Amino acid sequence: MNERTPPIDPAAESWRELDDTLADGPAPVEVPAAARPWLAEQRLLHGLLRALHTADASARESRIAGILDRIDRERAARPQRWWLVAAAALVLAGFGVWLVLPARLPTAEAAMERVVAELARDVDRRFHVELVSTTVSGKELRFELPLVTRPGMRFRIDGKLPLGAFQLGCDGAELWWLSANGVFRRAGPLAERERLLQGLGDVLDLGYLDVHELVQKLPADFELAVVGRERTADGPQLRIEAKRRTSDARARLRTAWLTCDEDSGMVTHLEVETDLGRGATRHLTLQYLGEEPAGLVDYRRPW
Amino acid sequence: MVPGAPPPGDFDVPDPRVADNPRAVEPRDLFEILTREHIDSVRAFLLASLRDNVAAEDVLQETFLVAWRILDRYDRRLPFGPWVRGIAGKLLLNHRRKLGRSRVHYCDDQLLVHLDEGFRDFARQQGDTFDEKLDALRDCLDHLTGPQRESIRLHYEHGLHCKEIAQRLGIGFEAVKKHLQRGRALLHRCMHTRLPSGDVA
Repeated sequence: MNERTPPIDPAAESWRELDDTLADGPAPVEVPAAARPWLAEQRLLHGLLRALHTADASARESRIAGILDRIDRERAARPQRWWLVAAAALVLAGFGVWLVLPARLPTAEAAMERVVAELARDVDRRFHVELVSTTVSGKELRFELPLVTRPGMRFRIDGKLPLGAFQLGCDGAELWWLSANGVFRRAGPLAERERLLQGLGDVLDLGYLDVHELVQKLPADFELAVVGRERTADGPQLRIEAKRRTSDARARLRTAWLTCDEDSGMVTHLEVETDLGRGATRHLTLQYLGEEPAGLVDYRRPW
Repeated sequence: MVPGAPPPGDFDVPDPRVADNPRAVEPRDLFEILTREHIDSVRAFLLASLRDNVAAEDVLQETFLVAWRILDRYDRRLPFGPWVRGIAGKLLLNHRRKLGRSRVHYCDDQLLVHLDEGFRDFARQQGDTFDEKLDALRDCLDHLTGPQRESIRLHYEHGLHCKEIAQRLGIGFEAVKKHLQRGRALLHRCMHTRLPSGDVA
């Protein structure tokens, strides 16, 4: 301690456990009145220190632009529905709940930020993948595969394609695949993915198996829009549509649809439509099944 | 939570609702000025109570939208900051009811009043902008002991949890918590002494 350090306040020491900013568990149910000023002092500095270390001028500008954009949209919509707003205000005022308004649809960008933040959590997640390919001649091929994935281009599939049952995985650096009978196998750097996957046929695009990476890239090139909200037994679900802004002929992914849990931000359903040229298309659907228990999934090649 | 008078530096804005006011500005333009002036302090206010940065962004946007919708209830003789933080506080309590105690730190009306008082004190720090006022915090960090400063740096700058900091510094988990809590208490006192003369309680 340096000379300017004041003596330790014994009362504050006894309140230390009430400060939930340093613990992962839930906040305390109740706090003694005498502890509140100390707790508020801790929280003030907690907020200021977080603000200090996340200060970003461009993020600040986009934050302000987002607010003003929503205000402008509300202003533009207001003349047509003034009577509706007035009626709603009367009803709400009657119940004294003017501020407890039903939640409005968030911006697609805000919803997508939540999705990306949730997907970035370093955990293993299981998805059911359905792949429907339509060839140039119009023939339709359908596959269903189980996928386990983790951020950082780590994934594993134990499935069946026309060539037979196989395992395919990547540990973030090395890509590998192994036929179920163990006769055929390949492994090599991820950068050589095209060569390595030749034996499996052109049915998988690895870019879509790293769900976090895929979703993270969407806001850059796609026009995002929240197109609906559904109430399900699992809570409110938001539906977001992502359409490519430019007509880049090289880009295969044209449109994506996401359904995400509004409370957790987790994407529960993802559909991707790709254009392979000359009338051939691929439609990929990922249905989220849940998190895998920690430590069970090994992404390294099994040999 | 309602203060008595505008704080020093609270700028004089014409009332856009007075039709014959020659200085009248569009409400939307006025609101943009107010948003730019106060968004950082409201964000810090929310970051003090919400664990998740993205949730803080959502509530921040909602706060200013509600403020816009009820702008006609704002008494312009009073400072805007506490008024908009009051809205943020109500939304925080709603958010806590909806998402539970694991997503939002302990909150009740009294704690939010104390927290708001802290932000009002912070608004009196020298500097025109929120970032300039943060200079007081930057300077006060130099007054901490080595382990306190290092714990705060690793926790807030590098996002490490107490357990990870404990491993990094080779000390116990509880010791890290103490360094962080005592460090924050010292920063609070240090910043209080830096308030312009006459403001120190």
